[in-house]
Amino acid sequence: MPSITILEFALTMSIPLCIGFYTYRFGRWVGGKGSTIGSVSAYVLALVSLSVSGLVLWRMMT
Amino acid sequence: MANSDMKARIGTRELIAMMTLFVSTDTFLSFPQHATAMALEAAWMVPLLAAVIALAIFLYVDNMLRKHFYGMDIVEVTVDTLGSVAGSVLAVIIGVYFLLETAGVMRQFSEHVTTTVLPNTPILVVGSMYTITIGYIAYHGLEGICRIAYLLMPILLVGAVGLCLLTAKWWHPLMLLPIFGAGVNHILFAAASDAAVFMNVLLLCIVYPHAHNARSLRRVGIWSIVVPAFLMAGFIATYNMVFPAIETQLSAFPLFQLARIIYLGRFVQRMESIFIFLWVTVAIVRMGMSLWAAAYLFARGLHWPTTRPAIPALALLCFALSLLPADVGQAVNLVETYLVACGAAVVFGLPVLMVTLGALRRRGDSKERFGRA
Amino acid sequence: MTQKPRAISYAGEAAYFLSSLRNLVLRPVIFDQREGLGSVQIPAWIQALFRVDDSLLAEQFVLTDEVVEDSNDPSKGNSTTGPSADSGGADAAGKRAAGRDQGSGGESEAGSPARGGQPDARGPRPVRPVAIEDYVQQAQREEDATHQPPEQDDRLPAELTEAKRELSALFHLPANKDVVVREFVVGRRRWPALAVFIDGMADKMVINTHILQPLMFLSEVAEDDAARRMEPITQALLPGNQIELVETWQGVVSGVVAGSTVVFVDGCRQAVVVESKGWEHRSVNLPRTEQVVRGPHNAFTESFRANTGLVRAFLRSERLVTEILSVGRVGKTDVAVMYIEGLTNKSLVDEVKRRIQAIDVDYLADSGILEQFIEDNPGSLIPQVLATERPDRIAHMLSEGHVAILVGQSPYALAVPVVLWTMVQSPEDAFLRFPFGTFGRIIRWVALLAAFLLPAGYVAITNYHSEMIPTDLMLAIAASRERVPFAVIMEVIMMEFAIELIREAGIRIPNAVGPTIGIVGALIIGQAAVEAGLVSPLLVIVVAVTALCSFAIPDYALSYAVRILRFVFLVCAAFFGFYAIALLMCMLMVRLAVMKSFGVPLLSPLTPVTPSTHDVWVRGPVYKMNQRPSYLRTQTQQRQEPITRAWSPFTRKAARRSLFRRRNK
Repeated sequence: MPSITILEFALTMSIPLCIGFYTYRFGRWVGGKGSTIGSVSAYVLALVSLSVSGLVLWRMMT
Repeated sequence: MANSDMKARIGTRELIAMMTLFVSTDTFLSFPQHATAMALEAAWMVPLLAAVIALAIFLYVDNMLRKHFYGMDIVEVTVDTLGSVAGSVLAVIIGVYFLLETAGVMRQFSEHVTTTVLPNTPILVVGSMYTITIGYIAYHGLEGICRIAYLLMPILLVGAVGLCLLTAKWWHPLMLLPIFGAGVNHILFAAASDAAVFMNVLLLCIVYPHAHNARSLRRVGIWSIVVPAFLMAGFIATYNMVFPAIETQLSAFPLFQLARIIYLGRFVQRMESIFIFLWVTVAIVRMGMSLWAAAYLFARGLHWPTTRPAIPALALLCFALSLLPADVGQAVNLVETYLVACGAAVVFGLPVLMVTLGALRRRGDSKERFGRA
Repeated sequence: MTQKPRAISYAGEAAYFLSSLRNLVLRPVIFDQREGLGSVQIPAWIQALFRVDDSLLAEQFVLTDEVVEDSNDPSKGNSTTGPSADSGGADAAGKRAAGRDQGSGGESEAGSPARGGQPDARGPRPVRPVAIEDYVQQAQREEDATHQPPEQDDRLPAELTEAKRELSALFHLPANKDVVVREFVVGRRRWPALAVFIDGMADKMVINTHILQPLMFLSEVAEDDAARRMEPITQALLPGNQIELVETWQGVVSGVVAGSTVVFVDGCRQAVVVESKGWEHRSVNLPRTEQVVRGPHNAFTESFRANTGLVRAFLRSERLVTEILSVGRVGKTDVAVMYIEGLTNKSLVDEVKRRIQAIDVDYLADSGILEQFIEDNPGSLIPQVLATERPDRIAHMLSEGHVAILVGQSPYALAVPVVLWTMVQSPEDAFLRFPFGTFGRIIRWVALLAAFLLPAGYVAITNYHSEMIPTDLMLAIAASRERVPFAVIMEVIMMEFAIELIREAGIRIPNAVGPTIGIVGALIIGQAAVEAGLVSPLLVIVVAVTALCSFAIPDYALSYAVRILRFVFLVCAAFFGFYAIALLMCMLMVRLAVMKSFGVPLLSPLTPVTPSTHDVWVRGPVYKMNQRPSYLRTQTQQRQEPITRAWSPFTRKAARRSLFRRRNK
């Protein structure tokens, strides 16, 4: 039943997505305070955490 | 830095408790197994010798910091010596190390939970519960972590000593012979390679400016190296008195095995469930602390004004990294080959290098100034 | 064929979602609230989840030794965290502050002069976007300011007819039957005069015998200068013990609504406010929730002055100061702030007053409402203010260096700051000898732990850790559970709910049948449930012990917190056993560890470690408790001489030894 697992995966991924989005907002906030390195690194952090968790979840749930 | 986390002030006793808990966690992980594999019957000497090494390095670093950089942490020393870029790089390197370290510990503890307490629960759920808790704790900052460490300290001490004594019925002291186990060379080698479990040396160099009283830091360092060393030595000795050293090499979770054989009459038996409180809470403090340290170092290195908003992403990253290895064997293997091996370089090498460089530079400066004058 | 349009609609929805996300991201938060996001309205709580602003932490109040110079000036604020602390982030934080205000009760605006009701003395307000609700509030405030009578009109008129006309307007007189205006003439000279009071609040005897009688019959006044008529009246004719001359309507109104009688005399621009409070109230009675066996048996009552008097009766000190603030727009409620001058930390007193003065409500009904306005974490389950109905407890806490707050006619007084340990202590601990006090405390700690862990522990053990139980007992449990058709967790939740029901209903059951119903409810229902095979007998014991334990917690608010937490622990234990309990304990502990009550960490003096006498887990001998709790940062630390039992060679020796030890440290 691949369709169910995909749905489960999508539902589970919503949490990392929310966290990623929050971190993205954090990056914007840091950027607003005038730190380019800070905001870029926050974006990178959001991206890395999102992709690694996506990879792990994909591997474990499908 | 606006965040109160950045200027939290921690009392001496809380710091001692936190550091002791932080280091003692390794007792419940693969450390006894690793030490026994290298030194066999003499494994209990390994933590003591490692503690001597750690103590020597700590005293050197502390002395240097006290003499030349009073009230500064290792990142500030690096900025002072090699410039702000080097400081950032150092902070990020140590931060990444702490992050990986958290992930490794998390994987091992999650596996412990799934193998012993909740065999039917997927590791995804167990790990995510750990992640939420340590994220919550790290979010509350250094003050919160140190304070719960202080509250949990009695549990650790009573639990660990109790565990050792309650198994007295099964002690076979002769199993500790031959006294030098695999040989003196092996013991020394094991001690040198495992000395990195005393990560508190590095941690102390980071939280140095947060101490309520910078003078008491030496006391914190000494206590938090000596107490866990004796705890570990006692635990490993007990373990090797109950189970033969050959078998210890194979046991992934010695604490559980030891707790399981406790039998003092019909009503005091099979205590392993009670000890869940011990190792779960200690693990929480350990991971919460290293997660906070990672966030703090990233914030220092990457110029974030605060640490707290980055905690969810970092906790998620730890969680995901902890699940990357296919099985726990691979995870332990990765931790031992990379984190413990590189550990010595990061935990001891970086502070010693930076402090020495800084001290040389300072001395040069002052001589120059002196000469000019 | 049907696939394609659906795909398109999916794509459309995705694009729609993305655009709304982009809106959420790109637009500053402040504008979202007024305009919405194009056509999509994202609820405020979701926006709050994704809002990043971490400068809130820097504004926490921390109790220190420093005395703030001008503590009423909020811009200087809390002694440790000046505005310079986040100079870099102040701008960005400020931009969001306006948007955050609605959620956080306007905490960041608390410092602005508008809230204090004072004119803006610090130049023009900075130009920044203002949220719509703030704007409305501000407009309201300005409107109120214009509606208030100007300074000139507030003065009392000289003519009695004019005064009467204005009184009628002020008190809505023909309609308002409570307000009595009694016209009469003073003495033989027949000066027209009138007395105003509220029927039911003023004491009729006082008015008759101490105001009307002397003025009407006994007056022999020679003064003929109309403007100076008040002098003989106040000096010789009014035997009331508290009188006050007022010249404004403001003073008249506040006197009348407080139960005093105001006397006007024709030709004077002044009125006399004679104290004649005398409304009906319950007399001082036994405490209803904090009974003790040994110790005083009186409790606060619904009378403000009686309550402050009770405290003073216990603590007779000229240094005990009662400052009275009033809160409320429609109706004023008196709020007394009591502290000991020269002992209590000054910045603590200032902070308490600052928080009370910031309350801007129509009506403040009770101390329970004031508590919610002034506590540090209003959302937290654990109380951070001690509410007590015992004047002796308030007196004791005042002498330790706490601040007491008495609110209007509320029979509960508040004491701040408070630490967690205080809520598990009973006043009796101090009145009994220390071994008994210690024993009582240990019992209470065990009860507290059992009250929120016992059901969870039962569920966890039976579900996950059954190997812990000795075999015989396990067989007994299994046998008793054999007939029960539910899962353990269902069973426990059912029984816990029944207990909570009995408890909640017990409050409202009429007194005459209350005890009977309680016993019937507890025993019969339990017995019947067991016999019907709905629950196992062992569980009845567990639930009953839990209920008893929760009644052993002295603090009412804390016992509520424990009851709620018990259910959280229960559900988690049902899913993950001891593992979840351990994790939840850690979370709870870290939350407690960082919580503060008026700048004092809730877990001090345990952690952060501060030197203290033995008064946390156990009760120390009273002759050794020489110092006040140091977390209160009082002005004087010592509360009694180091050697208190000087006549006894044994304790003298012990005290000297401990003194010597402390000095060496």
